[in-house]
Amino acid sequence: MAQSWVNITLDTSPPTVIIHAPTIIIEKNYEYITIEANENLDIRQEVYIVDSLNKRHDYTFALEPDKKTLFGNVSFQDYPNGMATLFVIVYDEVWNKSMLYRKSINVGNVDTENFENVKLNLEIFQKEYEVLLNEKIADITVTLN
Amino acid sequence: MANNYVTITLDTTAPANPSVLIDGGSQYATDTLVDLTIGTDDVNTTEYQMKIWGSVDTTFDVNVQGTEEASSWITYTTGKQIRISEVEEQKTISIKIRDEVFNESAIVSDTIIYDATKPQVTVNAPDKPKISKITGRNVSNFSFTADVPFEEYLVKVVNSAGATNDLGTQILTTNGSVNTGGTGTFDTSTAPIQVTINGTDLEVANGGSGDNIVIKVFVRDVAGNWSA
Repeated sequence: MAQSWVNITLDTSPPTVIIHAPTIIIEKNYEYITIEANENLDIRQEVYIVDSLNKRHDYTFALEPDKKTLFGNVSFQDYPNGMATLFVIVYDEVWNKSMLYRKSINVGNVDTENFENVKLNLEIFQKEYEVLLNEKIADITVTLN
Repeated sequence: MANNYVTITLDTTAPANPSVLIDGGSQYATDTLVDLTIGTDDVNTTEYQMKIWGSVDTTFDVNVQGTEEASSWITYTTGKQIRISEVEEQKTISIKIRDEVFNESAIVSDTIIYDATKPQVTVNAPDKPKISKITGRNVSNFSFTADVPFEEYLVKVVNSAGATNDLGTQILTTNGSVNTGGTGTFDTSTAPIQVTINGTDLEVANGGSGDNIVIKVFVRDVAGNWSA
């Protein structure tokens, strides 16, 4: 039966995202970075990293089939040591613009001694509080039993 | 002093220029209850009577029946509500008036077309089911047709698909929406009406953003029936 109405969604909310990127890069190589949004995204995006010498590196991430994730495999081989900052602006499928998101990435400048101290402290923490630690170079996940 | 004579008035003049209008002379009735406006040029209508008959619901008023013979004389009044019969067709109502000495006027009649059928509207799917207020993504288009010609239409934001024409908020054209309402003579049998909805106009009508906002089209046919 024919209908006398239509449904239209009016979306005026900007998308929000979570950036999944390493905070520390010891070996300057390719790193996977994903940007996960709360709604479907347009391919339009502004993704760039400003390195420790204030040089801007622009990227175009691929929009995953789920439409909510932007994916990039970023080479840090030519990055100078020091703190770089990843900046992200995304647009949802009706072009609402997100706020400017940022994440700091420490590139090739890890104080190995301090890093080992962090590991040691975590191991002490693990023994003392009986928690399980999964360690993976830069990302550390703590799971409470 | 006693009179040795009497005076008698012989009145042989019928009530002048009797008239009747159904619903003020409307061409169409969308309800079976209609109002008669009855008149005569006679200034003094004290003790006048009238008789009404025609295409009526004979159960509504025993004095108002299908034929002159079956109807009864009732006290003259300039306004009278009757109920016409249910069949959708042209109705004829006749009356005559008589004065206090039963001089009867000529019979006068009026007709009206009873049409209670609501027009049917068909709205086609929008080209963009989701929009924003951002230029380039702020417009959705759809078209609609009706099964009969119509004289007015409204495009409204309503709470539910079952809403009637007196509910909801019309989408205005302030920010670029097109064909969200109009009056005139419309016949969509050859070409549908193209509607453009702008996000800002939609936001105003809806009172904010929202998922699956129901936008409904209503048309009013020549008889005055609004689509459901």
